[in-house]
Amino acid sequence: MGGRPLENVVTVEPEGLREAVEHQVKRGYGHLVTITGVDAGEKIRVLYHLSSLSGDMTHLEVSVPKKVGASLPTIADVIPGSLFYEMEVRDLFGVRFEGNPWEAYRYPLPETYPRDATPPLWKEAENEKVREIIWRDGDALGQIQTSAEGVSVPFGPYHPALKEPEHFRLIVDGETVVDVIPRLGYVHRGIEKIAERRTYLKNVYLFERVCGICSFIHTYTYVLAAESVAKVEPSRRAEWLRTLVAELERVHSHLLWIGLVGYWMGFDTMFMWLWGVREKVMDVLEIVCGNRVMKGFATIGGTVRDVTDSQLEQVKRALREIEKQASDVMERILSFDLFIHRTRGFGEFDVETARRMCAVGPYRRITGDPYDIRKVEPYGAYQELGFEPITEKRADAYHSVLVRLKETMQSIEMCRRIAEELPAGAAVPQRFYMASPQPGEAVARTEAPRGELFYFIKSAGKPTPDRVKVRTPSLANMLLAATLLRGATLSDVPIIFTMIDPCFSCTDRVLVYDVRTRTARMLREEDFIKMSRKRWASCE
Amino acid sequence: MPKRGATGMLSEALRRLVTEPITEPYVVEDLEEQPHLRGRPLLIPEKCTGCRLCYMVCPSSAITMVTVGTRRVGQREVPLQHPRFDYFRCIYCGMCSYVCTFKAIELERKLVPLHVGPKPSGGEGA
Ligand code: SF4
Ligand code: SF4
Repeated sequence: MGGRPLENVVTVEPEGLREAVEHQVKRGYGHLVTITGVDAGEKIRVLYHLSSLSGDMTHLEVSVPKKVGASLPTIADVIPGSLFYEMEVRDLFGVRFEGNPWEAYRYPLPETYPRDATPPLWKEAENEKVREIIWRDGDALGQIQTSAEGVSVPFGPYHPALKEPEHFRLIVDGETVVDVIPRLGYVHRGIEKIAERRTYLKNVYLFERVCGICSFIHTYTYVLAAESVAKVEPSRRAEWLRTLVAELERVHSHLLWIGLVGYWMGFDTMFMWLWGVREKVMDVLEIVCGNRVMKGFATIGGTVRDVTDSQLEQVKRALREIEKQASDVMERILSFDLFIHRTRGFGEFDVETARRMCAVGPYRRITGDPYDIRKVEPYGAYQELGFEPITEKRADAYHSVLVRLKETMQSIEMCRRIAEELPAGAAVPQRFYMASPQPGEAVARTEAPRGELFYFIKSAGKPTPDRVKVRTPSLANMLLAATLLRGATLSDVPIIFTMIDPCFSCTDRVLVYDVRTRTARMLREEDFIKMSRKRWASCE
Repeated sequence: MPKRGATGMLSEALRRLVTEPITEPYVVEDLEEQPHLRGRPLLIPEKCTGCRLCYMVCPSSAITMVTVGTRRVGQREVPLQHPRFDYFRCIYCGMCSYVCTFKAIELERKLVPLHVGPKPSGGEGA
């Protein structure tokens, strides 16, 4: 399945929204996938996509008049995981959420974007105009800002020394973190807006560029949703091939992340080992897709190229090698006492918290909750492969490494089976999709390496989509991670934060504010690594 | 294991001064086909009819249509346009080659550095 038309829509009035959400939560639809805003001409439609633990979805729809400052009640107290989603709709559609505790902060627009300016995702907002406002007022950000808490001198967020620009304000008491205020959105590129001007086919390549690591799963999910609106069916072989690439991508993404955990702890050898194995996976991806990173492999109705039998043989051979090396490395890591000391018991939480915060992916599965889209809403070849999600019993940094190691091995196994049992037929569609689909709406969900990924597409019968909404797993996990930092010490911040496998290096740049001395200081990547290493040395 | 301290560093530096570089030069003349690479679009001008399909599907607007001559449509002479690729914009998706009905775009499977590669195909101009 994967992509499907938007069904089970319940229309509610703004006054009845909170009640309706509470009702759905009681019915078991407690997982808020995201909130989508849609410009419907006179009104703004706001869709709450709710999912049950067994994979059914229901959608609540409310409409508000299209004017800046139109308001809806917040649901942040019913489903705490809704914070960022509400902020996103507020910034991009101008809908205020009464009672949202982070009303004062912006996400994803910059602080300087006037609150009464035309929200960027309204149809009448022109890209050039939005850009102009941001550029004109953006200069103000370069100046030193003073606040009641102290002076903060901005280093970055756009700075050559930073890998990816994000900002976390940590309020500390000595070494202990008291509060965390994440500021995301520095790399918000307005992709959803750009997509409205490009054809369905061109958008495949646009959405590939949402993420540089799990690029394929984005095209895959987009394509699943687009196939649903366009009423195109891929062949069985194409489904299997896409599943193969999706699983290979999971292997390389997990290996990459586990390597990074080593790096953050100051265990560089572990980083080298894992990235060495990962390189082999990239070679396999090249054999199958022709490209290594931006694979451009999935297309509406199938895949853009097929694999030959001799290529499959090479894939199988390479997979055997990868499996051997990966299990070898795994054994070595898990028998290393220091690694265990440094991860076990850090950043603990329970299944209830994970559910309330709407966490997704391996990060949620370590609590023992088998919430995996591949299982609850199978797409591609997963139903036929008959797979069981991997869970753990204790949610901490150690087990988040463990669960990903196991998933890596499971994915390699799945890839091997796909290579062996790949159904015959044609994977490449007869014609590439260049038509205009009938008006309609569809959603698609997949299990990306970092967790549930969600796409929503609305077609208005034109060659370009009317609205595409993307919700990436890192955003869903961000809130829980930020909550977990409270009470931790500074040296544990990187480890707790990397647990969610964030799609950016959050700890690159952190403003630390000490409540005791009332001073603010800036910590950089090197400082964090140094602190973490000191801690490491004290374990020895 | 290199020796530690200033003397170690000095002797290491001196040794490196006289040893050969460990990187290998990139020989452009004699490049091998990369069997799995998707490749770089190259135009076969004789086959191209100027239908603009490749131009319309290119997701990164790497293709410009340039006039290379004229062609006959019935009695009239109309300009003939061929695609020209900007390899710095191209994302190597291969779409232009896949959609061309006349198989006028082939994908070259060699890792040619862009700045030393052959001039963009598809004629002069623009
Ligand atoms: S290369 Fe092919 S698709 Fe492009 S203009 Fe020529 S014939 Fe048409
Ligand atoms: S390979 Fe893709 S990006 Fe490059 S010219 Fe062809 S269609 Fe455009």
